[in-house]
Amino acid sequence: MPSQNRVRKLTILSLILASGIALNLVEPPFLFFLAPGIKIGFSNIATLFALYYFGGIEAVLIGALRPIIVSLIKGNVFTLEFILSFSGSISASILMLIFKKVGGKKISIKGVSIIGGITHNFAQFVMIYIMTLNKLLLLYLPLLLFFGGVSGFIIGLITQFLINRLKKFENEEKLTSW
Amino acid sequence: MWRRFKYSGIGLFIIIIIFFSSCSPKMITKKGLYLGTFLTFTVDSSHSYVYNEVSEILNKIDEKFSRFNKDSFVYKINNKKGEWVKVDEEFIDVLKFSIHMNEISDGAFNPILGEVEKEWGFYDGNYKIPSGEELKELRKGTDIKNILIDKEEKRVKVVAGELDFGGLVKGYALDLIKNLLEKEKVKRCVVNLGGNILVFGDGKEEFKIGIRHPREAGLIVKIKILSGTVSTSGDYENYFARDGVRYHHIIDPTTLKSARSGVIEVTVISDDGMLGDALSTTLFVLGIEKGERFLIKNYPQVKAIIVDKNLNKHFINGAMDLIVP
Amino acid sequence: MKLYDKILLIVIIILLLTSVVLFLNKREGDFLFIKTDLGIKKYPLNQEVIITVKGRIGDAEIEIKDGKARFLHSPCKKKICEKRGWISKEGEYAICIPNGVFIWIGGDDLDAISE
Repeated sequence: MPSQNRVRKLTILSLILASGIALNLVEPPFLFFLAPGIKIGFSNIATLFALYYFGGIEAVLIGALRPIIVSLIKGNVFTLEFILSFSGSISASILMLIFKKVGGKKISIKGVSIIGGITHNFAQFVMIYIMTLNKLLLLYLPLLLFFGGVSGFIIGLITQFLINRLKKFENEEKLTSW
Repeated sequence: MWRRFKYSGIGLFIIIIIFFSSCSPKMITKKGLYLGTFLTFTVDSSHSYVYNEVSEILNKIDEKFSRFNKDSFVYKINNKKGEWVKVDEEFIDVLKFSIHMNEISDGAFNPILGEVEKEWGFYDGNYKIPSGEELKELRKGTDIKNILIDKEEKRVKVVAGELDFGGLVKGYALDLIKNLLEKEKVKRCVVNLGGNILVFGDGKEEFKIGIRHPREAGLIVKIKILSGTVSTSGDYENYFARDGVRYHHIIDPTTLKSARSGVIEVTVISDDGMLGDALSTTLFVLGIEKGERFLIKNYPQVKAIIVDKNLNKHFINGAMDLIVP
Repeated sequence: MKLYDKILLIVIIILLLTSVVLFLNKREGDFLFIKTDLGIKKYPLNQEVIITVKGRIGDAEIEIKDGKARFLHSPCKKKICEKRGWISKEGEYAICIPNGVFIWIGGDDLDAISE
């Protein structure tokens, strides 16, 4: 029985990971010409979903693996692009996990996702700042974080919608409450 | 406990707002087109109204000194050769100053080169290299004695040649603006009229001014002054090239061709705008040695930085002290 | 709507307001900075010039005109940097990640440039 669960878990994780990769590849790298790095971040749906489906470190696993595999596919391992998306994704997933655990009933999936969005953009900002040490970029930070929060909220809504739909087809205790 | 979190968040926000509003510049900048060039006028916001008068000053100068404005004194004088043209005291003062500069510079500064500049095409962009014959024809018109002034009747006549005050009119405009700034007790102001700069302040904070590199995009040097004017003349401002030779608009009155004094850029820092503007052209024509001697002897209070064709910088009358590393 | 959610929404609003305040205080910049692996170069914005820089995958052309700057041509595939368009205010930037070229507007406390 346990091994069946393990296989099941692995299968579902792979599916989630694959969706995340697909979403990443399909999404345009920027929204409007506001500033590079401002986008909805659809691939975070996968990370967030993993967090609420499995409830634990699995989300971080997705958050780490997804950018790695995407960059292997795109062919830009160890470039700036990879560093940016990896740092954003992994820090977002870690913080989302922390806030979900710490917040418990007081935070919903939307809130967790907002944290994820803000953290994601913040991490990317830190990377760019380290490289340029240009204090003028700080002027952009609130805007970046704002859009991170908004996109996080949107991702949260979408993921919540997805999970609700899924609930209709499943009667599993595996689904943690949100 | 989380209520405290909310309140501290709001408090942080208020602090941020206060911080940023105190950092925000209290200077405002206005821009416009005057005297055929681009004006940038930056002044402390409590004196922004001054800009209206600056605008008027510049328009009035254009009305009198423009070569192209059909109602201007200069236009009438140039197009009614041999006839007396009614002018005013201001015009005569500027004219006399230019004649004075011509005299003490041994002709290096010449306000009556209009026909020569026109022939080379520096006014309309139809560049050409005039022949020796053509230049010989024009030489008579470049004699300063062609200018006659009737002080009592306030009239001026030019018997040959054409006036061109381009070498000092922007500097003169800066002087008039400076008088206005003093009158209105402006706190801090930067005027950039086509590259001629006037900085005016209460003497507490210096101004940092960059000097354009004559050959590359960027600056060649930066200086710091409390107040004054900065005028630069360069061989890159209005020029054309033919067969690998650069023909620029700063004419040497002895050859009636582009000055080949080994200098490619001159910057003059002076409290007197019209003087600084005239000197930047003069020193360009004179070259490094003659220019240095001329400036030290006649205007020891005026500083200059001359860039020669090897991009070496020469500092005159203590200009080195103004450099920002 | 849970408690933390509300707090986070307030945070988002604060961020928006802060950005608006900062945006209103933005000054027109004076210089374009171009950073490549070879270093950072500074160019005044009050000129018309096209600058060619060497990037990781090729040469990029950056245009300065009317006090603004933009990526005119870049050897990258997606041309995100070119689509960024003109930048002119302090702090604004454009970046070509594949080529490793980063341009931004800065005001170098210079009060004016004499020319």
